[in-house]
Amino acid sequence: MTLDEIRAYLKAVAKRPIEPIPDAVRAALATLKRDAVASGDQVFAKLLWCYEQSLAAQEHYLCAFRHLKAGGYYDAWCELEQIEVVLQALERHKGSFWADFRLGFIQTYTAKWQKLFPYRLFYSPEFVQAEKICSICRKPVLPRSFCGHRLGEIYNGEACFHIVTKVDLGGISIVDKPAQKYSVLFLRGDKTGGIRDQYDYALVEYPVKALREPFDGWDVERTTRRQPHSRFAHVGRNDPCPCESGKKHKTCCLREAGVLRPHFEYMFEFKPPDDVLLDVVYVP
Amino acid sequence: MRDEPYTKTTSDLNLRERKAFGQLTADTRTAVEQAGIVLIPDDGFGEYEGPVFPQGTVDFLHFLRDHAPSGTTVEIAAEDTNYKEVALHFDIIRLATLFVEYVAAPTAVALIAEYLKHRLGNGLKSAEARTAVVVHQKDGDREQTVRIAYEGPAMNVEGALRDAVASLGNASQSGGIVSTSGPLKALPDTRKQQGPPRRKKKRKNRR
Repeated sequence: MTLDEIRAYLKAVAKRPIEPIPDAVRAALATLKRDAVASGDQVFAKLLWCYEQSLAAQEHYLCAFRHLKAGGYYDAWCELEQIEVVLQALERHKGSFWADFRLGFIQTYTAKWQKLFPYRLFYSPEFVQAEKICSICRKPVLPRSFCGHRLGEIYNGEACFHIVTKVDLGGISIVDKPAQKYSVLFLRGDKTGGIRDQYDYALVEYPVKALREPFDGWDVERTTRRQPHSRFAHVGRNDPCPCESGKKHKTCCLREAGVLRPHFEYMFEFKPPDDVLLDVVYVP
Repeated sequence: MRDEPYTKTTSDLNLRERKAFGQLTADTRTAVEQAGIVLIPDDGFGEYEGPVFPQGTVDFLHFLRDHAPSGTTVEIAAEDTNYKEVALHFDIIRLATLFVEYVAAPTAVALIAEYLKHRLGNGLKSAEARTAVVVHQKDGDREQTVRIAYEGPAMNVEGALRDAVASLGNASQSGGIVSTSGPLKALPDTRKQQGPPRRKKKRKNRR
């Protein structure tokens, strides 16, 4: 594959089938980069690194969409986090490829999907990093003996990052804004002892059903609406109000026309399949 | 997360009085004392009692050195031998505390804001940051070291710290350089536009 063919492949991401990216594309990029490094062309090697990362972001996005369609929500969640990591490293080297390869779209929609997930609590460790090395030269990362490689910059077609080689674990906490998003809290199954997914994915499921292609546009608007009291007949007057205000039901929404609950309104660029539209309940 | 955009407290420790300063070699001490901006550590983390910096401090240090105006030197109050960073469990960008003379404070604030833009890119809009600037003021015999700590949206860091530094100048002009203990009153959150006060609705008790 030539560079032009690779570029055309990356540009056509929205029209490609939702399949894993062929090894041939990756291999062609690796060969071009090796040649660029051998000839000392750092600028071209850096551009090829950007293309590699663009390819990775596209692959994670398509993979996340495949998982979503198959109901593999946690797997999709992990792919979305990978996109965040890849794009954060790539963003500072942004060029025309960012728009050409739909990376802005991928970044925007990654955040949109993540907001629909029901995960709220995560495990997260805290630790003292006693030793770190530079990924380029393998020398220790120290304030007074600088190896010369800047974090996030590209050297010989590779990004510089720090590898933590020795840590003292301080503790593991349960947090709502974790440093890493993959450490979601799951329950353990009663019988098997395996993971039991206790989460309600209704907010994710609806756009998943409605979207035909991963690059179809959509949006969601979060508001609140009053739901009929008949839906909350099981809630006693002295129970906490289902609107989660922290007040008693009788002193909160029971006095109103209905119970105030979150309401999500989805908008789609393309008309969803008819069977999905049938799921819509019109609330006057 | 606090409601106020930043908090401001006084501190009675100048650079020489800090625990970390005593652990430096003579050469490093001289360099640190002559620097315009000094990155200072926290004293310990958990069971570890030595000096520690937030994760990514080496990167922050090099950014400051690259971007500081000529004539402003940037130093770190640490030796390679006992240098350690702490990675905390939450998704907040923590920056090392900067110790600066009052005249260099606006530069330090601008550099912090620039670094956050550089590090976070598009993520700046949604990220949260925790940072602190310790400002040293000396006026004849009177001396004060004020710590301005910020925790909140990363994109508001510059405005909040700049206002706080400006308020130090006002205090100075009105003879307010007096070391006090405990938190000073936080400035009002200018981000929130307050409307007229709402009248409390009387509700009947339906018991």
